[in-house]
Amino acid sequence: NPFAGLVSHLRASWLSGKTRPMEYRLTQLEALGHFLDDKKQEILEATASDLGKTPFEAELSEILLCKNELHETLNNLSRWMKDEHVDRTLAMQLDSAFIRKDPYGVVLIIAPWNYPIHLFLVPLIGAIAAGNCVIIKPSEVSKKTQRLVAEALPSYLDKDCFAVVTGGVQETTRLLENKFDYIFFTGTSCSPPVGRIVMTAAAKHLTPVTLELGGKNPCYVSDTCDVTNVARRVAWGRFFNAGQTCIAPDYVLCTVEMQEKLLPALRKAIDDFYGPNPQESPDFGRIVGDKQFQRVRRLLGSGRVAIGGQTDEAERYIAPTVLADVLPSDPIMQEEIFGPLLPIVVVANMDEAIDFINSRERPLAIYAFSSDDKVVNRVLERTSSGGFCGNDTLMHVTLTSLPFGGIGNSGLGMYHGKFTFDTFSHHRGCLKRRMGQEPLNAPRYPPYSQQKFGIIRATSTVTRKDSCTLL
Amino acid sequence: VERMQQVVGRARAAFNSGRSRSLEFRIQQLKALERMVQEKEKEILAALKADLHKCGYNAYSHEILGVLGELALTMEKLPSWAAPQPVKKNLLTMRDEAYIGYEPLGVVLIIGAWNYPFALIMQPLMGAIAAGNAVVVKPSEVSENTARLVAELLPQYLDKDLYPVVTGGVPETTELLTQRFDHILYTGNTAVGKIVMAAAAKHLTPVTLELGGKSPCYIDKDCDLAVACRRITWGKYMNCGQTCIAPDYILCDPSIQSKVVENIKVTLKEFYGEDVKSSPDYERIINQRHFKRVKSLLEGQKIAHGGETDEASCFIAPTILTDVSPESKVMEEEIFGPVLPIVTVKSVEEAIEFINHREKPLALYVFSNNKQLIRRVISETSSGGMTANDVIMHSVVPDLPFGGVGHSGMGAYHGRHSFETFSHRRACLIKDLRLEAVNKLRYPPGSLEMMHL
Repeated sequence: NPFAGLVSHLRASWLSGKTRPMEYRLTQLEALGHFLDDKKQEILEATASDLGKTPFEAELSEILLCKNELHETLNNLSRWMKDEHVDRTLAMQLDSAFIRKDPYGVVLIIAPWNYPIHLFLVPLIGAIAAGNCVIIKPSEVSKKTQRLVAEALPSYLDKDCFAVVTGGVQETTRLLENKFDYIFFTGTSCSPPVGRIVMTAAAKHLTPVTLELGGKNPCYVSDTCDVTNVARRVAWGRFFNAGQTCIAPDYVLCTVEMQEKLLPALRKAIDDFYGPNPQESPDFGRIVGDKQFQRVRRLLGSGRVAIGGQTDEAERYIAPTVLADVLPSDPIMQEEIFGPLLPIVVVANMDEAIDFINSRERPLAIYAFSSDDKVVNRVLERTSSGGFCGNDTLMHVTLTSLPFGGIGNSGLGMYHGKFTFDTFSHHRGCLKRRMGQEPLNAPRYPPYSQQKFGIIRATSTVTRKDSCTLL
Repeated sequence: VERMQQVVGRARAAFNSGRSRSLEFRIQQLKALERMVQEKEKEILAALKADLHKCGYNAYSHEILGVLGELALTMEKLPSWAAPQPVKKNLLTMRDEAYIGYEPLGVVLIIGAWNYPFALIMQPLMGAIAAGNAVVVKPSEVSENTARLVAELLPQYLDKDLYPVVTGGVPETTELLTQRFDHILYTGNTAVGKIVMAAAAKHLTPVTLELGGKSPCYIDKDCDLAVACRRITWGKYMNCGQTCIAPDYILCDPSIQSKVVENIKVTLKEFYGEDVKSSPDYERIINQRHFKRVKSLLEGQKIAHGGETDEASCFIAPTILTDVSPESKVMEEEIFGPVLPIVTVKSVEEAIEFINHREKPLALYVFSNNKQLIRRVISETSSGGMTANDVIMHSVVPDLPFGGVGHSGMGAYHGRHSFETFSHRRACLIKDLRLEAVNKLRYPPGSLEMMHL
């Protein structure tokens, strides 16, 4: 077991208790802020090299959004750490009942390649804030970023409590043989099988997990809407990071009439964003690797190419593409696309769209566009997904006050903001009683009698107002 | 296999019909459950008597009173629990609707245990119903009378398709676990907990595992020993020690060990009289297998009190063991019986270290007049839950989450925690299709003004 030494070293640090005091956690968190500031240029360069991430997108997703989470955590940590006092029954008025937020111990964060800094850093913020020791496993697919994190991050953090492990599938498998107290896994387009592997490994040690997976995020566009705005918001969400976003709108559902209106609007939006030749735009990314490039390019065969469709293998460039008249049985509708292709599947009406969505695995996000509130709400009410955004794409995950997570095949658990802190804490129910007032306990002790029972029954008679249970 | 597929399939079809979602429907089902408990009280108590030799008052206060209280609480609070929760917005989303919606997960599976066979089905069940799910109920076959009763009664009071009861043993449960559920709540032991989680992993099903472990009980020199020992005696020997949060073993200074034994002996006499076996208030071990298991833990131990057994009636007397070695068999596994080992430690530091070198327990107890010491024990250890200066009681505070950590489990329930466990918290952001100007900043061609918003 090549990682046993590392894990037990961290476990010893954990048992020493050094990660528990708030001051310690704040110091480590502030150091993370310095890492983002000092290494900003290196981060931009590494992500540009790894997946052609544009400086704008990189600064937004890898720096700005991370700093938001960091500041939210630094501002609120002392409040989040406080014991949460709860309501007590009448008989316990003199006792103290509260929920204590305990760290779990040694936790593992496994991150993917598409937002390679963000997707380990944001969970890491919560894990440190909650008082844990952490092993970080960045993705080997985003090679330069992995090297940057492995080389630079440890010098900012306490090496006894935080470590970076590099490697591929083999190393991750060996790592998962160890006992962790929590495992946080974010996967990409091949997620469901890997998510299962992680959870099965966790089961051997009864390790709780959060799995942030993926799926096909449907985007319903109703007939009553401002087509120009819809096209811009959908195109933005789809083509950001060249489509390699777990919450990107994966496919559009609309009527054939709306498809005809959408196509020119999408063409204009793409032109506004990236110019007539997106390959020359500094604002459009690339596919991360050859394997992924081949996979996405194969999907071009579905439906008919209405916009884009150009590819350049040397650059791993695939143009922002819209495919029209795609059939549910087409290959592009069988897997999460994770690339800059937007298929349009024609439906007769909203009900058919809802049935279509509900006949498939529950996705990470559902999008619905309509100027009619009722339509948006009906789609929301009659479907199930990790999260939902009406009349826009992606934006629900930029609010730190909203939980971010999946359901069913798209994942389990959630994070962002306080939810990350809660994810990495054990919520321990605590009751502090007094040694005195022992006569009050008398009715609960044997020998049992009708009289004692009468007292118990009387003092715990439930009315709609009081909720007294035992004693 | 077919039977399981059909039962689960029917539940899923019933859930997909949407009828379990309205608050009115959920409250109607909860009211029916309440009626069931009130109308069938006699039958429930008879089943508990037959399964665990539990007397009327005890059974009522442990398994019925608590259930009725939680039902009333759930029905009262459900509208507020289920209401969408608006969240804090930022500048960009100021004019939007942002909230967390509570939605049912779908079809959930509840696997009960045999030690509080009625309560451990009812409490999770009411939470799952309150959250709008369909529920497959699998009571423990070990407490066979209660299992049979639950299988008879639930269909008489609840929607038959939405809330089916499945009975059977290990083969049936194994088969059931191959089906796809949207959440599984299992109460039982650590070994089976791993099996349940591995089965759940195949479908990416979230789980709540209420397991067990050895719940330590530290008695400080500075405390009212008589009171402490009375409370410990109550929690240890109720249900013949078969309580997941019973104080499993005592840690104390050698100088007070004999006083602890004396106090417990006095209390035992007070509770059960001279002849424990003839007290109507003392239960029995659930079956032969567990009887033999618990009895074998006595081998080679110094028995300070008790030790009498009677295989025919699965009777084991309330027993205290002194000067127990940490390496002995009785200190390896959860006892789940009326045997109380005392392990001596010289200081609270030693006690904390002892506790921390073992698996995290479901409950932890500390008795002391010294508030500093109590605070220290809480801060330097980890456990599912804990009570200071008493035992068991943290599990009856409705708003405290009840669950384990590490080998003692994951997830929690009781009260609103049950509702949250069985709900999906869906992030919802509803924007306006107009006001596109605000969005211009985020679109390419890249602008850095966006950064500084």
